[in-house]
Order: sequence, then C-alpha cells, then structure tokens
Amino acid sequence: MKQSLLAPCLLTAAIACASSVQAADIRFNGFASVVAGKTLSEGTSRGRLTGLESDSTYTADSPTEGVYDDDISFKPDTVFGLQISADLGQNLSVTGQFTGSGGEDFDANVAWAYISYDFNEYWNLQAGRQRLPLFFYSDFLDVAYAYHWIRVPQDLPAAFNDTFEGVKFGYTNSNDNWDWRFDLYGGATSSDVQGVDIEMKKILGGVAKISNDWLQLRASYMQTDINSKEVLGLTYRGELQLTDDNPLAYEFAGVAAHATLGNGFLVGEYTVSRVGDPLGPDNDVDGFDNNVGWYVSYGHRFGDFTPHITYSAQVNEYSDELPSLSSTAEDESTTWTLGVRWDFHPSAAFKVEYASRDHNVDNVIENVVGGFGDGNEREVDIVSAGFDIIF
Amino acid sequence: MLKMTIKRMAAGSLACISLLVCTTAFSAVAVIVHPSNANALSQSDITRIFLGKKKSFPDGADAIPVDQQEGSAARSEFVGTILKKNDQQIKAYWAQLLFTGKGTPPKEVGARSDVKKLVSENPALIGYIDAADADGSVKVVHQF
Repeated sequence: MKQSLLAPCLLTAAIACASSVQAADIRFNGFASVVAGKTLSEGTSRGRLTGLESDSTYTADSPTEGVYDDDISFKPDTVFGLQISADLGQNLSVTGQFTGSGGEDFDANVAWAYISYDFNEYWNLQAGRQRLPLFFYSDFLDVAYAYHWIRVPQDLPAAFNDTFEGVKFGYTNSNDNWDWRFDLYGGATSSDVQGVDIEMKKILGGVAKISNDWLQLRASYMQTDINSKEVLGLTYRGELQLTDDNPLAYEFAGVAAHATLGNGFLVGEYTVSRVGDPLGPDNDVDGFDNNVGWYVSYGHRFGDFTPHITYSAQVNEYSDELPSLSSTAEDESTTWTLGVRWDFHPSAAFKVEYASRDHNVDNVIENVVGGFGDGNEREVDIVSAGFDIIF
Repeated sequence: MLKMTIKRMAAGSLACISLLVCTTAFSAVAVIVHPSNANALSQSDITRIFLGKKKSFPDGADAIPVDQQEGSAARSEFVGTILKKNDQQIKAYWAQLLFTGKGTPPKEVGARSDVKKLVSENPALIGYIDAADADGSVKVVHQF
C-alpha cells in the first residue's frame, strides 16, 4: 500500500519540479580577484633579540601566506573561486565551493562543501565544510566584489583556521521592520597554517544578526580547544608540548555594525580573542593573552565611484606571568587605508588602495603562540590595485 | 594625473545625474502575480520576497520571485525604486548570500513577455513588467 502511494507521489513531485522555474538544477557561480601590489617604504624592521634588520613586508592574507614585499607581486590577494550548487528539490541542496589563492600557488582548496536542508521557512541546517563565521566579513572574505576594500583590515586577530567541518543551525525570521538571523554551529577542523599543523577541536559558536533597511548589527562568539605539537617550542622545559589533556583554550567575541546613510556607509567592528595559558593548569600560571582588533570605515558613493577611508588597530597583550621569559609584552599595530572602488561594469569592479601600517612591539616574547612579530618598531606602506569579478 | 582623475570623477557623476533623469522619465512598472493570488502585498512584502528574506505570501503560500534579464530598464527601475539599491549593490548583496549558502537570487527568466507568461501560469510566481503590458492574464499588486 505504501509503495503504491509513493510512486505517484514521487512522480507528481518530479513533474512539479520540472514544470516549476525552480526545476531541480545545477547552478555554477564564480568569483575572481586579480590584484597587484607592493610595499613602498623599505621599512625599519629590527629583530629585538637578534638585532637583525630587514625590510618590512606586509602580510595580506595570513592563512594563505600571501605576503607583499617591495617587488610587485600578483599573488597575495589574487583568488579564484567556483561554486557548484545542486538544488535537489524538497528543500535539500548540495554546494561545493573551490578556491585557489595566489598565496598558495593556486592549489585548489575546498572552501565550502555542505548539504543544506530547510526544515521550514525559518529553520535551516548546513552540514559539512564551511567558513568559520567569526568576523562580519568571514563568510565572504574571498568574494571581494561584495565589499569596498581590496582586502578586509588585517589588524583583526587572525583565527588559526578560517574553515571548519561541522553543522550549523540557522534560524531566520522578521517582522515589519527588522529581519533577524541566528546561527549556532559546532565542529572541528585542522589545517596547515604557515607550516604548522593546527587542530581546533570542540568548536562551538554562535552568530546573531539583525537588520533593517539601513542598519545591520551583528554579534559573534566562538570557543574552541587548540592543539598543535608544533606551535610551541617542543623542548622548552620539556613541558610546553600541547596534549589532548592540555589544549589551548581559545575564545573569540565580536560585534559589528553597518549603516547605510544615503549614499554613504559606515561599518565598524570590534573583536576580542583570548588564548588560554599555554603551560597548562598545573604550572601555576593563569591569565590569558588578549588580542583586541577593531576598525571603522566610511565610504561614499559618487555614481560608480566609491572612495573610502578606514582606520584599524590591533593590540596584543601577553600574559605577564610566564616564568623565566621576558614578560609584560604588548604588541600594537594601527593602519590607515585609503582607497577607491570603481564599478566600471555590472559584474566587475576596479579598486585602488593605499595602506600605511605602524607596528610597535614592546618587549614581546619571541615566537610565542602564533609567532608574533620580531620587530621592535616597523612601518610599512603598501599600494595595491586590482579587479574583482563575479559571474 | 590628478586633474585627469578629477575630470573622470566629474564625468562619472554627470553620467550618474543624467541616468537619474532618464530613469525618472521611464514608464511605470507593475508588480504582477497570478490572477488567483488574493494576497494584498505591501511594498515591504515585495521587497522581502525579492531579497530572499521571505519565501511565502502573507497567506502562507509559496512565493517565488522572478527577475527580468540583466540590463532591462524595468529591472533597474524595480531594483532602484522597490529594493532601494543600484545594480552593483544588488549584485554585491546576492554575492554575499550566494557564496555563503544563505540564499540564491531570483531566477532570470528573460524579457517582460516571458515574465508575464510565466506568472500567468503559476500562482507561486511574482514578477514585474512595464505597466502598459499588464492585462487580464495577470494581477497587478503594486505599481510605481
């Protein structure tokens, strides 16, 4: 009985699918950014402990090792992406997004690979590989066409990974004036970050976003256990090795707002991340390394041209209780960015940008988690220009 | 060099102004649904459906928006007046959603005659055409 009912049902569904404009179909979309850039000043990077001087460089994309120096380079911000999405009908779809970044020599990378299921108009589940949605721009970081800069401010605290594997539940709803969306996600990931294999376990996070026709507000939180046998000096006191019992606790929180004001827009974000005590609970050391990053940016549209200005800053404060290491460390960077976006084509934009970054390091502990800068003080100016395209 | 840039920017704003003049002179656009669709739609309902924020009509029935092809005058008019975005902004809006799994833009179904025909055949669809083209095969729910 069941079977005989099922067949006509399926047939009806298939016909309904085929006759509707939303016929189960495969959709290809893509994006590309081709950007050239170089640093202007020679900079004054001086290793505090080593005393060595070197030219300043500018890291444009830390997860992919995209670094500019004083030779013109096309690699750091150049990225290609292709997305294939299959709508299977009945609220189910499958999506894969493949990207190749210049910083990684265009090796194909699976940025997204997930199945998505809509339980109803409000609830959705995405399972698979997804972007870690820490920052306002995290989800679409690679799709520079969708924002005004060539790259988002690099003064925000870099997460160790920008992708995770897991599940994300989304809830959306609205009333007459406001739309809101909540995402709750959990999972794990591991990846090679600048030659270091970093694992993130027990990722648990949430994003809340409300918006109306001119204002978007967003809050984000995430916690995870970070583990890597390579992050810290393995031999230091024989105790620094991270183990499953003694991972680094990592917490992230951020708030952001985006306001459209006539032909102008103002966007700002403030984020804090904290890395727990690397020596473990048994070493009589507590406290966190705090990292604060924020930016404020204003842009104004004049027809197809959008000039913009951004101030961004980051402060790292290291826990000052690490025994037998120089302590009371602080590491601060600030950046001014000026640029213009020109929408010369419906699907493409041309952008020019100048950024000037000051980086002051006060008595920093060399090569602690994440390998923070080895300079005492350095300045770097960078110019870049490029095309962003979507198709 | 700087002079050139300024000149170009001035040219850009002039082009923009002339475009504005053009669009205000453009004929009216009508938002249409199937004649059997009894819903009263506010401009906000239409905006939400076309921005992917709402997937149903007020009575709960499925709502599927359809777009005219890119570059059509009615589409620019619709996007500018109803969605309050320009062509680049709407593209950037959809890029954000499309590449992050949060939504897909309305289907492009071709020219205005295609939109009218499809809407007249499917109660779930909502589209827009030149007001002068509207006839008994579809129901106009909003005109601007």
